[in-house]
Amino acid sequence: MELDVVDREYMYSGHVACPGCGAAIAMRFVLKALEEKTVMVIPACCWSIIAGSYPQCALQIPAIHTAFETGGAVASGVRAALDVKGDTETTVITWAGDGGTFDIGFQALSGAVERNEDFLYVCYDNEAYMNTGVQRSSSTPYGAWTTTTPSREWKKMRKKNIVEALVAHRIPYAATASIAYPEDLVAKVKKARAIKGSRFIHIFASCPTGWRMPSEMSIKIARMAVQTNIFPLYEVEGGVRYTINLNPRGYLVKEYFHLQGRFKHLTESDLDTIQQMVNEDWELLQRRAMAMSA
Amino acid sequence: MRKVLEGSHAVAEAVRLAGVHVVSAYPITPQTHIVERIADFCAEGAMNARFLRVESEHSALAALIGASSMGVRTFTATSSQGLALMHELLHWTSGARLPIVMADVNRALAPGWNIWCDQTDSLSQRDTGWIQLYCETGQETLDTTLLAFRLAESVNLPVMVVLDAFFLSHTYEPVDIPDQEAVDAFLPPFRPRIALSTAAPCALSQMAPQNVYMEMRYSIQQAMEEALGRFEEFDAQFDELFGRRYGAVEAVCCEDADIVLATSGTITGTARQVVEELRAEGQKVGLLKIKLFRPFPAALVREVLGPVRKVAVIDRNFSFGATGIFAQELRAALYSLPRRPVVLGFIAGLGGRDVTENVVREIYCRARDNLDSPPTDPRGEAVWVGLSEVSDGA
Amino acid sequence: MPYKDLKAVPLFIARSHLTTEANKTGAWRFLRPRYDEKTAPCCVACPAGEDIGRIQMLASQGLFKEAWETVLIENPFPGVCGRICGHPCEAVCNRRRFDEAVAVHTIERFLADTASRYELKPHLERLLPKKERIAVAGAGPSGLAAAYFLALLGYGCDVYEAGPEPGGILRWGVPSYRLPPGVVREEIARIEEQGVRIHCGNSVGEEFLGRTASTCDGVFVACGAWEPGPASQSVETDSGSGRGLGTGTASRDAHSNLRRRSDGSGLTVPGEDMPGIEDGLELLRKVAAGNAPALEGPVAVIGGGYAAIEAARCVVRLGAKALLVYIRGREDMPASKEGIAMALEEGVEVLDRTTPVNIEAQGGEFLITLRAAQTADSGSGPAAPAALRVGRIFMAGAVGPPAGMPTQTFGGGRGDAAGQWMLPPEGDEGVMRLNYGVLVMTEVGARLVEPRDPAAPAAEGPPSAARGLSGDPGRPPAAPAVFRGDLANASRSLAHAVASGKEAAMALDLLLREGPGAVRSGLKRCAVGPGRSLSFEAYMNGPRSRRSSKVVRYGEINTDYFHFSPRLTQPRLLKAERVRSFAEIDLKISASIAMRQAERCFNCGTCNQCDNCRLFCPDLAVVRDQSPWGRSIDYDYCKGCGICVVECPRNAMTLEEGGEPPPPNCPLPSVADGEESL
Repeated sequence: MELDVVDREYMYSGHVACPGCGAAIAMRFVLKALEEKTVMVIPACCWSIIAGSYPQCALQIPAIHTAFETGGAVASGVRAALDVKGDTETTVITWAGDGGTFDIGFQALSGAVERNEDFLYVCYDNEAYMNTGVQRSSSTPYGAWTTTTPSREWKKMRKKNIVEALVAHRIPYAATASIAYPEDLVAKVKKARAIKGSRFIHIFASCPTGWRMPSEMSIKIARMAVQTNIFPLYEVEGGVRYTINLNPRGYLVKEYFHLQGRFKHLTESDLDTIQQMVNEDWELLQRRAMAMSA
Repeated sequence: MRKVLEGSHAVAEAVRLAGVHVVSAYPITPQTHIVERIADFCAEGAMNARFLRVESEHSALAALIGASSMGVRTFTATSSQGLALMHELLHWTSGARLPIVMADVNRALAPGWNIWCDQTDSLSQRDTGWIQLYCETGQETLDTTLLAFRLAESVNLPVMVVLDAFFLSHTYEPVDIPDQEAVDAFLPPFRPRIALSTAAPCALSQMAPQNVYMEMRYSIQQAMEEALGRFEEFDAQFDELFGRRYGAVEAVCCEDADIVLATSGTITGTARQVVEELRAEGQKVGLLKIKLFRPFPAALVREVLGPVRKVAVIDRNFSFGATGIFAQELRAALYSLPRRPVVLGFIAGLGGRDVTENVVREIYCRARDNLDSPPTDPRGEAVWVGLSEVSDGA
Repeated sequence: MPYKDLKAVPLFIARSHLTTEANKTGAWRFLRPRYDEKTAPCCVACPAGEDIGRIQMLASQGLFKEAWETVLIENPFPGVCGRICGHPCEAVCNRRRFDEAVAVHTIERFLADTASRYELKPHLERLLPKKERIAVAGAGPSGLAAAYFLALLGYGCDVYEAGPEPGGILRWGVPSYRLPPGVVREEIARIEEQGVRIHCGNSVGEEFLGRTASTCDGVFVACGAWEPGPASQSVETDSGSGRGLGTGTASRDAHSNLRRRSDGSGLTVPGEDMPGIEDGLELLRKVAAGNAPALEGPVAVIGGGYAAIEAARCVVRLGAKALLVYIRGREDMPASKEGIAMALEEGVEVLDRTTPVNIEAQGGEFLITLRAAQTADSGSGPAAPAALRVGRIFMAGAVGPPAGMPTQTFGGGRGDAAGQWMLPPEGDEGVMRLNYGVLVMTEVGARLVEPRDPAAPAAEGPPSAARGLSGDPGRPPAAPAVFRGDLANASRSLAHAVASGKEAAMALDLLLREGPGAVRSGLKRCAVGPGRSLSFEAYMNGPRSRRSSKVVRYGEINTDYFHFSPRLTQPRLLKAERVRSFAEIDLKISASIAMRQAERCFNCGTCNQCDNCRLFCPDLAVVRDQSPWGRSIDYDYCKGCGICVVECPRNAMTLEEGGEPPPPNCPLPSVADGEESL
C-alpha cells in the first residue's frame, strides 16, 4: 500500500497515548495531509494529554490547548487574527474529541459553521468521554456500556448524527473517515484543506482502552465498522451533494460487537435490533445519496 | 475633538483609536451600544478589524483567546450574565497571560431580570486574575480604555474596564476624543510576547503538573504586583500627553477628614457633590474614589485612610454570607496598620436603585452619629440602606 | 517618545519548548512485536522447496529475472516444472481458502519462458571450485539436478548417461505437446553452463561402481527405472522394511511393468508377450525420437497411469482411435485429473472397471477378451463389451504401489543386461536413510549382486544375509554414494526427482566437508518448515536460512487487504487444434496477466514491504532503514500494542511476550509439536 502523501511526519514519538490509540493514528494521517502551515486548536480531549505535559509537545505544528467547549470559537478567533495579518494560507484546524464536538462543544461548532468561518474541524470519535474515564457522550453508540451507562442502564439512545446536523447548516464540506482507510482519510483532508469556509471531518478512531478490546485490534475494528455499514464513508458538499465513497459488502454486525468488551452484555435479540437499526440508517443514507448525488 | 458621547461610545472610540484587530462580542443590554458602534466602525472601514459575531459570551472570549494567542490586539465587551458565563475563560485568559481588554458594563445579575446598575457582576470576578479599572465619567472611560491596552500589553494580563450601566453607559457627556497621532504616541503597536507561528511552532496551555503550576500562578501575581507601579507610570504618561490623569485612587479632602466616604463608579460623582456641601457645612469629611481595584492599591489606601477615624464604604454590590466587597477589601488592606479607622459598610443602589445625594448624606450621617465603633455583631458590618418592608406574597 | 521600554515582567506560562521524545515509552511494553518471516505452506509442499511466496512477490513487482533466479536456486527446471509438475503447492495454497489457489505453476512457466525469450543469464551464487569430483549416474532430472547443485557447490561433476541424449524421462517420457524438447535442451544446457559435463552413451554398471574409489570422491546413482522391458525381474523385499533400490522416481508411475505384487494385485495377461504388443513407455520414446509408428484403427492401451494416458493421447495424434482399458474406476486412475480430462477431451475412450483376461492374435489384429472388474461399487456404469478387436496394443499398466506398500522397482542402466543395484540393509553401519535417498559411505561400499531367479523361492533367514553384500573381499570399496531410494511414498514426481538430486548434492557435500556426523543435522538445518523439502538457499546461508519454520495458516492471514480476484484460465489450443499435431497445448501468458496473477499471492510469511506496519504505528516506532525488511522497530518508543502484527497481511511479524527488545540475531522459534497437516 503506497500512500500518495508526503512521507514526512509531523508528530513525535514519546507521546503518552494508550498503546494502540486510534486518535494517535488519526492525528498522524491528518497532519500528513495538512503539513506545516497549520495552527491547531485542541479543546479538552484525550489529545490534551497525549500531546504531552509542560514543557513538551508531540506536535510539530503550533497548537493551542483550550477549554472544553471552545473548539469552534477559539478557531474562529485564530482565523480572524491570521486574516487580519494577511495570512490566508495557514490552515486553522480544531482537533476535538466527540465530547467536545457533539455535546459541550456543539454550540461553538454550530456557531462557527453558521458563520461559515474558514476553518477545518476534525472530530476524532472514540465514542465516549475517554479522557475522563469512559463516560457516555451523545456519540456513544446504542448498546454500549460506559461508566455512566453501566449494566442495565446501557445506552439506549442512538448515536447522534453529527454530520447530518452540520449538513443542515449547509456546511461547504462534511465527510466521514476512518483510520482503517488512510488513503481515503488523507484525500479527504487534502480536499477539505483546499476549500474555503467551514469544513468538518468525522474520523472513526478506535479506543482499545475504552472499548475493552486488545490494543492490536484498533485498525481491524475500525475497518469492520465501515464494512458492516455501522460507520459508512461518505461526503456531503454544500450541504446538498452526497457521495458514498465505499459500498461495502455489508457484513453482519455481530462479529463487530462480539469483539468489544463494551458490548458483551448484549443479547442476540439486542444484536438483531441493532442490525435492523444499522440497516435502516444505511438505507436512509443511500436514499439521500441517490436523491442528492454529486 | 470634543463630542457629546454616550459612555458606550466613548469606549468604542477608544477601541477604534487603539487599532484593535479582532473584536468578538455577543449582545447584552446595556453593552450593546459599544459593540454596535464598533460594528459600524468596522463596516465603514474606520477600523481594520475582524468582528466576530459569535453565538455566546463564552465563545466571544474564547475567540479572543484564540486571536490573542496569535499576537493581535483584541477587545470585547459584556455585562452581568455574559460576564458570568465567561467566568471559566476569565480564569483562562489570565492564566494564559493574554493581554485582552474587555469593557464590562456593571449590571445586576438575575434572577429576577434586572438590567440596571450593580457592581456584583465584575466584583464577583475579582479572583480571576484580571486587572479591574472602575470609571466615573465618559472621558475617564475613554481614557481608561486606552490605558488598559497599554497596561495589559505591558504586563501580559487582561484588563477589565468597568462602567456603570445606564448611569455611565447611556449617559451623554462631553468627551474629548484624542487624535490618532497622540494616541499612537501613547500606545505603541502591539509587540506580543505570546504569538503562535508556524515558523517556530510550540504548544500553549498544555498540561502543567504539580511541579510547575504553582510557579505559573506565582508569575501571575508577580505581574499583578508590577502592574501597580506601571499603572502609575502610564497614568503619568497619559497626563503628559493629554493633560488628564486619574490615579489608582483619588483622595478628596482626606488630609484632615474625620470620616471618609469610599466610593467607586458613578456614585463618586454624587458623593463629590455631597462632600462639597458637607464641607461647606463644616463637616470634616473626605472622599476616596477607588479606581484601580485589581491589583488592589493597598499601600495607597493605607496611606490615605490610616489617619482617618471612620470610613464609610458605599458598596453597590454584595458578597452573600459576608459583606460588601469594597468594604471587605478595604478592611483587609487596613488590618495590618497599628492604628486604623473603623470601616463601616453601607449597601446601596443594587439593581439600579438610584443613589441620590440624600442617600449619600444619610450614609454620612449614620456613620457620624450612630456608628462610633466597629459593630460587635458581624451582621452590623454591612448596613443595607433604604430597604422597604416587603412581604414575599405567599 | 514619552514611553520607554520597561523590563519584561515574569511570564512563566504553559508553553512548550521540548518535544516528547524524552519519554521513552518503550518502557511501557510487556508484549513486543518483531519481524519474523515464516514459511508458506506451498514451500513445504513443494518437494524442491521453492521459495514460492517470494517468487510471486518478485513477479508481481515485474522483477522477472529475480523471480526466475529465486526458482533456480532451488530448482534448475522451471520451464519443465512449469509445464509438467503436479503442483502440490497449489493444493495447499492458503489463497484457495479465500477464493482460488494462486496459479504458481503457470507463473513458473512464464518466468522460464521470459528468461528464454530474453536469453537471460542467471546470476547464481556459487562457491569456489573444489578439488573433489563427483560422478552422477543417469542424466535424468534427478541426476541433472544433483549435478547442478554440486556444480554450484564447487564440485567438478561428470554425468554418465547411457542414452544418446541427456534428459531421461524429460526427453523420452513426456510428449512434446506437454513438454517441448527445446525447453528441456535449454534447461539442460544451462546446467552444463555451470560446469557440468555430460557423457552420453555411457552406461553405468558394476564396473563403474568398482572404479569410483579411484576416479571420484562421491557418486550419485540416479539411473531411473523406466526402461525395464519384460526381461526385468522384481525383487521381493520384506513388506515392512521399505528397503529398496535407487530408481528414478519420476518414472514411478510411468513404470510400465505389470508385475504381480506381493499382495497379488497387478496384472498379468495371458498373451501379453506376443510380438506386436508393446510397452506404452516405449511408444512415448519412439514418438520423442521421431520414430512414431503409423497407427490406424482402434488401438488399445491397457492401464490407467501416466504412461497409459499419454500413450493414449499419442495414439490419437498418430491418427488412431485410442481405447483405454483400466481395471478400476476412472476416479481411481493414478494419472492426474488434468491428464485424464485432457485425454477425454481429445477423444480417448475410457473403458474403466474393465480388465483384459486374454489376448489372441487374429490375422494382423488382436482380440482382447474383457471382463468387468469386481469392485466394491460394481454395477454402476455401462457394462463392458465382452471383447475388443484392435490393431495394436500398448501395455502401460499402473504399477505405483498403494501407499504403505514397499517399493519394488529396480532396474539397471540401459544396456546393462541384468544389473541390479542392491543396497546393504538398513541398520548397517555406514548406511544412512535420507528423505529422498540412501547414503552409503565409503567404509561399507555398495555392491552388485547377480540377478535372482524370480521363480526361486524366497530365501530363508534375514534378508541381508541372502541378498546383501556379495561378500567378495577382493572387490575394492566404492566412493560414498547416494542412491535414490524410494521410501514408502505413493506420490512420485518430477519435483521429487529434483528434491532427491538436491539432497544428494548437499549430503555429499556435508559428508566430504564435515564428515558423517554432520549430514543429518546439516540437512535438517535446511528443511523448509516441518516438511521434508530442503532449501539450497538455506544451505548456502542465504536469508532464507533465518526464516522461522513456523507455517502460516490461512487464519493468520489478514484477508482485509485482499480482494476477490479470479485465477486465470490457462489459455490453450482449441480442442480441435490439439490433436492435429504434437504442438504444445498450453499457450504462453502475457507479462501483465502474470503480474496480476502473481499479485494474488498472499506471500504468506514473507515481507513484501507493503509498509502497513510503519503506516499504522500510533507511536511512529517503525522506521525505514537499511535492514533486510527495509524497516525496523524502534524499541525505545514501541509500546507493544501489536497493531503492526495484526495489520501485516501476511503474518511476517510476531507478537511475543517480553518487554525487552529482542536480542540481535534473535533465535528462531522451533516448529511447535503437533503441527497440523497442511
